[in-house]
Amino acid sequence: MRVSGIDWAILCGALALFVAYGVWSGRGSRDLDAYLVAGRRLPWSNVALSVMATQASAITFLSTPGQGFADGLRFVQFYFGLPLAMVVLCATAIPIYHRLKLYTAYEYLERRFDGKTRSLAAGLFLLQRGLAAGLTIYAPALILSVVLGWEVRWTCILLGGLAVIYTTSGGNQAVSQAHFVQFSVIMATMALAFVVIAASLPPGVGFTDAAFLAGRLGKLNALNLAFDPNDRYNLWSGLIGGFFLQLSYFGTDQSQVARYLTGRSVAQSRLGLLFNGLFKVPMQFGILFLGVMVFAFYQFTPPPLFWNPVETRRVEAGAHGDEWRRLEARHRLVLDARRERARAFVMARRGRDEAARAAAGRGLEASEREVQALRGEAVRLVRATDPGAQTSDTNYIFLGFVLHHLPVGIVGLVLAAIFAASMNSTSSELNALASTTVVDVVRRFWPSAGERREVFRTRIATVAWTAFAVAFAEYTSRLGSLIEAVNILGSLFYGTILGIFLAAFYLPRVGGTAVFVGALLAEAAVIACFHATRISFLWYNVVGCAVVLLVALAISAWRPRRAAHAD
Amino acid sequence: MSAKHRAREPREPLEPPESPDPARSDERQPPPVLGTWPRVYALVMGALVLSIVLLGLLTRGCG
Repeated sequence: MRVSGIDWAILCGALALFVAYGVWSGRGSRDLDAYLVAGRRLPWSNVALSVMATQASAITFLSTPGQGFADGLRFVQFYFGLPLAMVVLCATAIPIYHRLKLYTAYEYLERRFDGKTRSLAAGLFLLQRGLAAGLTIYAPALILSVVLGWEVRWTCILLGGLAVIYTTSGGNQAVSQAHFVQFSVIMATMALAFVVIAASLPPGVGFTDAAFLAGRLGKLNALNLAFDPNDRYNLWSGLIGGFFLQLSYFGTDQSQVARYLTGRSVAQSRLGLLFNGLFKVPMQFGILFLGVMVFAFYQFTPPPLFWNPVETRRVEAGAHGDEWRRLEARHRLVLDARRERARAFVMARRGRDEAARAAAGRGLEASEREVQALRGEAVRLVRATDPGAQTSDTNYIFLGFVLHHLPVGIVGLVLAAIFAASMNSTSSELNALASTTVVDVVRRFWPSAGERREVFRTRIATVAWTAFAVAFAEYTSRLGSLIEAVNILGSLFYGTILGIFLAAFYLPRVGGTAVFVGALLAEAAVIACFHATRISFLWYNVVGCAVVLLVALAISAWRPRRAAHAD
Repeated sequence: MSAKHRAREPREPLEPPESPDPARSDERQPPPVLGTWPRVYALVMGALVLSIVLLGLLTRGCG
């Protein structure tokens, strides 16, 4: 796949500027307030973009368009619970965190309950986020290395190394300021890519034609009203399960809490979170729709039979190479027929003959089924060549399109945007892991020895967690099935942690021991659900949270909390 | 009274300004359930409902 010299220059120049700006903007972060919470003086715009940048990792911009291509818009339902979660957090958590001048969310738990509850929540966070940090580095590194032909190990080191430079140097100040610039560049690049895609449609095919064509083939499936706990993406799992997930992620995960602790007032932090609540759903819709437009584009331009170039080359050179080449020849014929039917559908849609329009739609659907059948045979050959091969190629669709069909220069910008997205989320995670390690663990056993020493300890912790994340990313490459488990790792822990915090906010009669026992039982219940049921992982958050609260209330009713314990 | 004379008058100590921050005002009265932002919260929830409705119409319109 081609990457021109101009694209490389743009990519390298952009990365150098991002890192340099991060280091420069974080200068002077010598005390804990500056290093951990950017001096609590940032405006809502910084908070908002920082919150959005932290959640939108490189996988968002690599995989989500591919998901739109393959599965349509239904993934947008995952985010329906987010605005409600933002409202609840603005009303409850932000005033408490700001008033107490916290560095981490878990400090609050010791003041409200006791040290063991704080340690449990911090420990669950470090475990969950520590492993997720490795995946945040590994997943985009794998895709980039496959498409660009790089070694995965060096790509992981590059992605981790770029982020750690300014994260260690300037702490949260550098991270937040870098988010502002990088996320703005990412959004502008994605908007530009969308315009170019729309302009790349063949003559005679407009944007509306492409949307209707994608809709006829089931890609504009934004809303599913059926209640099915085994279905990941429907209105109810998004509104209910997604609400609990987002509430926990934004309210108790230090990588997000640290973003709005930097707000210079409660009002600024609230505005930042509410901006996220307003624009997250449209943003995700836009990214998914980008994939839908790529799908429409490929109705008129032949796509590859299989999007992962490494697996494709392996099959071509293997025992099933001849069969693969015959399959590709059939694929080209079927694609030619589908292109003609796509044109016929566009023409028929503009006419007034309903019967012709319906017939053209049925013809297009029949062609699409033939294409999908051939792709199914391709997946069978990939698996036959290598039983351990990745058979899902969704992650490579958008990058494949970018490298083959976007103009020189814009390719470099998109690659820079993907790297920036990776740095955004990685830097937030590393900063959060380091601050939680120092504030919630180290400080409790080795008392503070001055602000400068605390900042130095946090810098060391940042580098240490980066090394762990990169090492775990390397290890993850050998454990294919673990990737799926780590993908839902958040939901294995978030429900329990959320239950602890909700008890802290809303159940004044519940004490530390009751919550602690409830948390342990909740975690056991979630793991039991994971092993014994097929319910969507979004519902784990509800299960974990509910068990914590119910058990804590039951224990408190049986053994009332002692009145002397202070909040 | 001339401006020069007024300038020599000792100034009354000023009261510290009332903080507009709702979090600090919570110390003197019970915090309202939704804080002081009910209209903003309603706007965000209204945007969510509108998004869901629009997405539903998109599904039906272009399917």
